Amino acid sequence: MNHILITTALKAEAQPIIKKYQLEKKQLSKKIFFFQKGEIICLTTGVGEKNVHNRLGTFLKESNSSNSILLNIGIAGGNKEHTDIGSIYMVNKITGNNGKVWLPDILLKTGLSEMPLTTVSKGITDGGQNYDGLVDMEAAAIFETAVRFIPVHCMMFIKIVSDHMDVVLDSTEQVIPLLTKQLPEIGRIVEILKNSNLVKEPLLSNADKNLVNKLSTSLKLTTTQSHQLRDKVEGYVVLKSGDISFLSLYNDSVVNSKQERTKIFHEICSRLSA
Amino acid sequence: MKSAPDYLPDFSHIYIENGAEEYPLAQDVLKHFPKTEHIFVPDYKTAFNRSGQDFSQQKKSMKLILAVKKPPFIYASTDILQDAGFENFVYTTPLLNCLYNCQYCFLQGLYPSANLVAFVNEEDFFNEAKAALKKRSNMSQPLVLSISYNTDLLAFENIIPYCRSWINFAAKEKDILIEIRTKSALFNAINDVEPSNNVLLGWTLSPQQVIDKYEWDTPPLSRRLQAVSQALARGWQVRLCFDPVMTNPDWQDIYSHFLDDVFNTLPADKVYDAVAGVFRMNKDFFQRARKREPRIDIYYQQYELENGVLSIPHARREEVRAFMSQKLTHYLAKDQIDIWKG
Repeated sequence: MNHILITTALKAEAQPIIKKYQLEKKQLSKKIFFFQKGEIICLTTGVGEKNVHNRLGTFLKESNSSNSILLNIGIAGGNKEHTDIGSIYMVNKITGNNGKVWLPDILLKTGLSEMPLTTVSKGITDGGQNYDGLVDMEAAAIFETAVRFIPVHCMMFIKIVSDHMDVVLDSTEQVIPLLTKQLPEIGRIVEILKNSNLVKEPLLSNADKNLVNKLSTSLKLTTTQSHQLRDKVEGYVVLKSGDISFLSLYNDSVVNSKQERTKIFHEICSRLSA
Repeated sequence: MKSAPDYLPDFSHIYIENGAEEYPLAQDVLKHFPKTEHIFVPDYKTAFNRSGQDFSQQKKSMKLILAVKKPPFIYASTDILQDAGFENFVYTTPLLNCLYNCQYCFLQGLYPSANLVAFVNEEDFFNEAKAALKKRSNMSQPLVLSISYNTDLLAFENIIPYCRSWINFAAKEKDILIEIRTKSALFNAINDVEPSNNVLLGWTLSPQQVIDKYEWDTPPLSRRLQAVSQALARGWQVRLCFDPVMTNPDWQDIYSHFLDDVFNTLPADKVYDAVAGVFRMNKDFFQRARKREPRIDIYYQQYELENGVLSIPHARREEVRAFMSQKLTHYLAKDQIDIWKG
C-alpha cells in the first residue's frame, strides 16, 4: 500500500487529521517532528516559503519518500464569484509569487472540483479581485521543494475555502471546524490515493538490490562491472521471471586478484544470460 | 497498457498555451471537449517539459496541450527514417506524441512527457512547407514530407483533422509527396477526401502476436487491414510498412504466415510500395525508455551501437533483410521494396 504524506501549514489544520487517523508523534531530528500511524504520515510545515523549504526539504531528504504520495491539505482564500466558503477543491495549477507555474499531474478520478491557486507572501484582504481561484501561502514552495523527491503525479493539493480574501482567518477556533467538516471527504481521498497504482513497484525488490550491492562490494567490482551486473540482473528478472537468490552463493567468494574478480564476474554474467 | 478504471479518461485536462486559444483549430478542439478542465499556461513547455513527470503513468490518462509552434517547422530526415530512395526527405511535427503506446517506438524515450502537444497554427506549417518546396536540394525530385513522424496523425483525426488539412494542402501543390504513416483503423475519417497522388498513406502492419506484445492500445491487424483495403479501393497510394520486424523466437515462421495473410487480404497489384526495417533506437532514448518501463523484454536483448543508434546485431539484420526481400518479392516488384540498411 502507498504511503501518504499529508502536509499542512498550520497545527490547527493537522489536528483533526491526527485525531482521525490516531497518528502518533515521532521525532525526525531535534527540530523536526511528525505524526504517523502505518502508512499515514502528517507533517506540519509552518507558514510561508522559508518554513516549507526548511521543514519539508529536510523531512524529504532524511526520510525515504520513494513510495510516498504527498497530499497537501489546508485552508485557502477563494474568489467570491467562483468558490464557496467551506467547500473543498483540488488545485490544478499553482502560480508562485514570482509568476512561476507549477502543475501537478491529475490522473485519478476523485470527483473533486478543480481550481487554480496562487501562492502569495502576505494574506490577501482586499477582496482579491486579481485572483481567479484560490490563494494560499505555501503551495508553490511545497511543490518546488517536493518535486526534487516526488514525481508530479504523486502530489495532490486540496484546499478548503476559509474566506473570500476579505479577512485573515487562521485562528485554531476558526480553522478546526472547517477541516473537521471536510474530514469524510479527506478520508475518501486518502483511501483513493492509498489504493491507487500511482506508486510504481520497482523492478528489483529491496532484497535483490541489497544482494547486488553486497556482491559488488564483496567481489570488489569496478563501477562499470557493478552497472553491468545490475543490468544483467534486471534482464534476468524480466526475461526469465527469475529468482536471483542463487547469486548469494558468490557472496563468500574470496577475491585476491583482478583475474579472480574477472573470472567470477564472467561466471555470474554467463549464468544470468543463460 | 490502459486498464485502469480509476484513472481519468484521456484529455480530461487541456493545457492551453496563452494565445493558442485564439486559433480556429484550438476553438474547435475546445468545443469537441466541452467538459474538460482548461488550464492556461504561459508556454506549452511549462506543461510538457516539467521535471518529475512519469511517462508510463501519464499514458494511463493522457492530457492535451494546445500550442503555437515556433520555427523551425521543417526538419531534415534522420538516419532512422526510411527515405525510400527520395533525396528531398524532410519531416514536420504538427502533433507531438502519440495516442498509441508502442514499446519499441523511439517516442518512449524522446520526450519528458506522455501528454500530446497539438500545434494549432496550421497556416504557418503550410507556409513553411511551401518555402521548403522551393528550397529543396534536388529540384528534379519532389519534396517528400513526413507529417506523422512523431505521432500517429490519422489516429488523432477525429480530434483534430490534420490529415484532411494536409491532404487538401498537398493536392494543390506541385512536386510534393506527403507521407502519413499510421497504425490506425480510422480510414473512415478521411473516406470522403478525394485521393491525391501527392499523398502516400503508409500503414504499419505487424503480426497479431507482435501487436499484442508491443503495440499497446493500437487496433488489431484485422482492422488495420480493413482500413488499408478501404483506402486501396478508394484509389489511394498505399505504402505497407513492416517496421520494425521483431526478431523474437520463431520470427520467420510468424512473419511468413503474417505476410501471406496480408497479401491474401490485400490486392498486391494496387499497393504503391513496401518498406521494412528492424528495431532501432537512439541510445539515449533507449536508456530513458528502459528506465520508464523496465519490464519490457526489448530492453534486454543483444544490440550493436552504431553512430549513436542501437539495433540488433548486423548478422541478424542481414537475416531479416534477406527474409523480407525474399518474401516480399513474391508479391511486389523489387523496385517497390525498400529495406532499412542501417
